[in-house]
Amino acid sequence: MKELDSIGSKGIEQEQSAKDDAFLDEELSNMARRVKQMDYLDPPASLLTSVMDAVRKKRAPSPWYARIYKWARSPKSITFTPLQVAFSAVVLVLGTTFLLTQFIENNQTVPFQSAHDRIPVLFSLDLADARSVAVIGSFNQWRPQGFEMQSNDEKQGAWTLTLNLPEGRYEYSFLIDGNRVVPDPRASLFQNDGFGNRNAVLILGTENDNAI
Amino acid sequence: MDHLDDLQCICAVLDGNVDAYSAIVERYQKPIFNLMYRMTGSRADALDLAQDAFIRAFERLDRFQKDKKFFPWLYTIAMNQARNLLRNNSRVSQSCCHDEWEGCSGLDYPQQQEDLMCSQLDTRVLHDAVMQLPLDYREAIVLRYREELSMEDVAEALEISVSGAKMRIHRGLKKLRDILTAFETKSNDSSCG
Repeated sequence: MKELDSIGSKGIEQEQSAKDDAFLDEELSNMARRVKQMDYLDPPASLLTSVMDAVRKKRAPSPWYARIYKWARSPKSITFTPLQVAFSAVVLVLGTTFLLTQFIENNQTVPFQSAHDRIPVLFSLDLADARSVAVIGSFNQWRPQGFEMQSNDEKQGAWTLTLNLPEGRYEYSFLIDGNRVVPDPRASLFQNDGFGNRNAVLILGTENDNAI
Repeated sequence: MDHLDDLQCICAVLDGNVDAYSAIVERYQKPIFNLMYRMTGSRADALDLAQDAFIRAFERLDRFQKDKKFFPWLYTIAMNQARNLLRNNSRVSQSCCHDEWEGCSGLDYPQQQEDLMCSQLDTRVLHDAVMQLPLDYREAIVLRYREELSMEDVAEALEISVSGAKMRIHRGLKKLRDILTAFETKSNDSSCG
């Protein structure tokens, strides 16, 4: 069967070859036949040996990704001293601690940014003579950065800020001009902070065990 | 040996079996060596160039596209290698005197000395005529008729279009016919004289 296939493919090749040479006249076809019979020099035996000697000294060619894959698949042995292990362990522990600290700090700064169920809360304060007003409270660890209120262009002295907060109980106040703390005058609940000041209390959500 | 065998060898080499390359060298050393000989006219230079071409092909084997035929790809590398050397090295030149041609007779009847001599003369004349062809025409007709490559493969090896390859072959054969006719005329004149 293979033989038949081979004969068949040879026949097709010859047919194709004849088609390719259809543009040749008789005289040029004769030329082609003579070229076909042209003698070749035999290459010196040293050619094969010299090529193989040269390529054996070279690295087998392969694409870079194949080289990386091969390297990754081959087992590697690693030697180390106890001192190196101790040093690496210290670096690992310190690095992990640092990263964890950063992570916790970031999450504490804006605890509700990653929360899914949030309730929009509009904070507002009417204070015409203030230069800046910020909301500080238990939801932002009493830090004003990033919680500055915006003054209303239409109504002079109206400061507002909308926050999306998760359900819970919060205490908060307004920080005016960076140095004066005032509880929300419109709040219905207040709580003493233990230092002689009062904070407004905000309760969000229907099922709140922390309600006073 | 066909395309599949070439591919098997190439895959083996790419898998790290460098010795598999020897099958490729054995298979193609004759046409590549003869190409280099036609380019330089010197056996020593042809040997060096053929060696360089095979090494260069080995180094670039990972770039060979496996859906193509190997020999045209190798031939292109060899041609470029030879062209670069000829361009950079004036010592080796296409127009330099060729080593004495000793084509293989292939004849096995020494008692018929006259036939043998005629045959050798024909071989010599044909070789000289082919060598007088411009490089582009020469390689096109050698690839097509001596190496029996398809027109597509000739075009690929010479990095030209199929119609360009046909044109080169047609013109090359015409030129070869003119050269051979001139040889015969010259030979007849000298024998008459």
